[in-house]
Amino acid sequence: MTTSTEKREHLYKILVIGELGAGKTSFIKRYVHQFFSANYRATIGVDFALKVLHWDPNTIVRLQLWDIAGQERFGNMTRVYYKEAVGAFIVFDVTRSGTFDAVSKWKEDLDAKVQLPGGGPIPCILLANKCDQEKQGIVTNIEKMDEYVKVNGFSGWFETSAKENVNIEESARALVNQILLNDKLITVADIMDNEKFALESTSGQQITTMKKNCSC
Amino acid sequence: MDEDLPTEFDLVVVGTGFVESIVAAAASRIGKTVLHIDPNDFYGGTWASFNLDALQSFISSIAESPATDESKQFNSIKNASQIWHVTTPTATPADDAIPEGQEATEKIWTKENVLKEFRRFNVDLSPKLLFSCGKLVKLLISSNICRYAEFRAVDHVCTIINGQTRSVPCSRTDVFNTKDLSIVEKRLLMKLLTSCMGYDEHPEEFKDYEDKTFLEYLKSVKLTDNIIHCVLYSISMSNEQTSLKDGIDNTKKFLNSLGRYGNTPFLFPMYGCGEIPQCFCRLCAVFGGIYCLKRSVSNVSIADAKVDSIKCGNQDIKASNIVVGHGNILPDFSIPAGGTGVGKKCGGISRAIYITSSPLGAEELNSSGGGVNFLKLTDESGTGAFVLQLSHYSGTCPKGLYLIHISCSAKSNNPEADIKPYLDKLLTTDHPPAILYSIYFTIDACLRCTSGASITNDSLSNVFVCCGPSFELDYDESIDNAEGIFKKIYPEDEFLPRAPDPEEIVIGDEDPVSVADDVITLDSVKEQIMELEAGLLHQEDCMEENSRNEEMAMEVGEE
Repeated sequence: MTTSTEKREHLYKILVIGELGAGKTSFIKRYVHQFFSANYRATIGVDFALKVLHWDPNTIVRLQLWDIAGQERFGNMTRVYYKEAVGAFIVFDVTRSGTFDAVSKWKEDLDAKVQLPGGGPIPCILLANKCDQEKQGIVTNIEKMDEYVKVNGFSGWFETSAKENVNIEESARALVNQILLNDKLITVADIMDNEKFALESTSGQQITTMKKNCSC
Repeated sequence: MDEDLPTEFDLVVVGTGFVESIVAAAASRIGKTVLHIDPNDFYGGTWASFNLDALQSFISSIAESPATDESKQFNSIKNASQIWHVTTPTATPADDAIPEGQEATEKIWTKENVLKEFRRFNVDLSPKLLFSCGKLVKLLISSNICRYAEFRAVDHVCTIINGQTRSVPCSRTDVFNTKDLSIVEKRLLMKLLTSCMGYDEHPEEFKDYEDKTFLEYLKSVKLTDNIIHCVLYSISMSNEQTSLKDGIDNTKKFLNSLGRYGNTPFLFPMYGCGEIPQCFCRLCAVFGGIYCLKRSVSNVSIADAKVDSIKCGNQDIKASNIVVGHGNILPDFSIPAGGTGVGKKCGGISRAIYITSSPLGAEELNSSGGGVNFLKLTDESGTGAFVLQLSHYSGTCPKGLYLIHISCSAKSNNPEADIKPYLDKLLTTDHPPAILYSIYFTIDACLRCTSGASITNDSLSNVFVCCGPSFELDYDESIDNAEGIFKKIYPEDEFLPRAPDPEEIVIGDEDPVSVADDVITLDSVKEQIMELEAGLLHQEDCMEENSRNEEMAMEVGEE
């Protein structure tokens, strides 16, 4: 390191899951692109949205927010989607209690398919979205919600409105906090495996292994 | 989650195996509407990987259902059997013989503590290796699907000489460092490999051997038996009958893949080959494809020699074209005639999978807890067997255990008997693996390959059948199969053009425009392939629990 203060950069993969129409895409667009539109087109060809946070003077956090995108709405996400995620939001729509009924199924599915390196569940925050509209079901009772979140192993819950920009930043901050906390427990040795790599070639590192086909 | 599907698609794909998934991704990528279903509750079909729990139930389900059962969802795998070679300690009433605490310290593997780790297994039905400059690597890069997968370079290409498992020197450094070869041998080997690479420029050097075998040529250039063995069996993966041309082509393929990643020409996908079809599925989904597992086609309605619609659940779905995977063909589907670009039959593979508590070969082949090693075995009758040893570094088994996969051409309906001569070779080496659990099964040819084209009575012009896994190390034939099907359906369209990275997409309020689609040309794809050599993007966020970087391990201590 040439700089005197050590700058840290983190890249975190975060899943945004929940029933169709719960507001997953709206949440991501509000958080990442700071806009809301009532009628989005289905986003074609995008895996995730990237949000860069200047967490503190020495820490940059890059969040990849992976939308399940209506296409996998039957709950059959590929392993590619879950792989190496370190946090998740489960979103439901406060105006349709049916979307809440599916929450525990999404949580079970999440916990079965992705774990922290130590084997524990990844931190997950429950979002009660569209809170600017009339609520239905359990979400009208805050104590019951607190209890539900505790019993089902969520790190917390927020009433959010992507439309009115309510609690969007706050919920994300809460999740990142939890992720950073987990991250401190993982030593450098855990995350370094020089022999594992992707096929991309964006880094300038050259392998200098000589080819055998030159004469000697 | 039980909503209805849309009722009309450009393409319906049945089965999520490798070939089907590529066709689905390619169609979705050019804007076609795709419905991709699978009767199974897992991705990959015959190409899937399972954790140990799922694998055991899968094998039992096949072993228990009669071979003639047409209704069976999975009819591409048969003759399945599994057996544990370790007994459970609870079988003996003398509990104090193996105290609880002792297991952890001495690592005595019992059935129970192997099963306890079931989640750490990703066992492939159809394990493969990728040549670093083979078709799949090129396709993954040119389509930008590589961002979904990670790989590990194979540590050693091995061979068995006189009952000893040895590493075949691959890189130039290896050749010079090996103690197995004399200096004269090293020079001869380098000279031979150089002239193989120059085959096209200097065909005159080989003139006298054109109609002869590769072995005869190797013998003519005064090589020692050791070198002939390494070059013939391991580098060119040939046998005594292989022609000079094929032997040299194979050797060149091996050499061309060297020096790109790691020490050998081969890559293995982290967490198993079952990841690969899912990478294509994810791309298909990202471009709008709809995914639905546990759904099958219960009926088809036919009009004008075409399938007009299919019955899926309680819905009738119209489909312009239908692609059907290996093992998912309805009994009353008539199979369309015509080549798919695959020269030989798919399937016909006898498979063995072993969980072992010790690796094959000595410590130097398995440094710091085990290597991902590849071995090609030959026999007198020809095609030989591929042997792949996977340690926990491959993400397919727990630390301290190994998976050994053997695949050979099926000679009978008894995969165990087919595999036995090869297993015996491994077991009679100086460091044989200690087997805890074994599985045998046969991968069948797809219906089309079994029956040839003659099965057609009135061929359905919009139904396309995908082959299953072929007996090949890499995926070349399967990619040809997929591309061939795609080109038949969409002859005018590009096959898997590069998908933009998320950063390249500018999201506007109303009209998301992909900049990348305009900018990216074929030239840049070529550049990318050339840049391949610069590879090794370090995955800082990877969560693999171990480090093979010894310096790093020394600095911070293991785990």
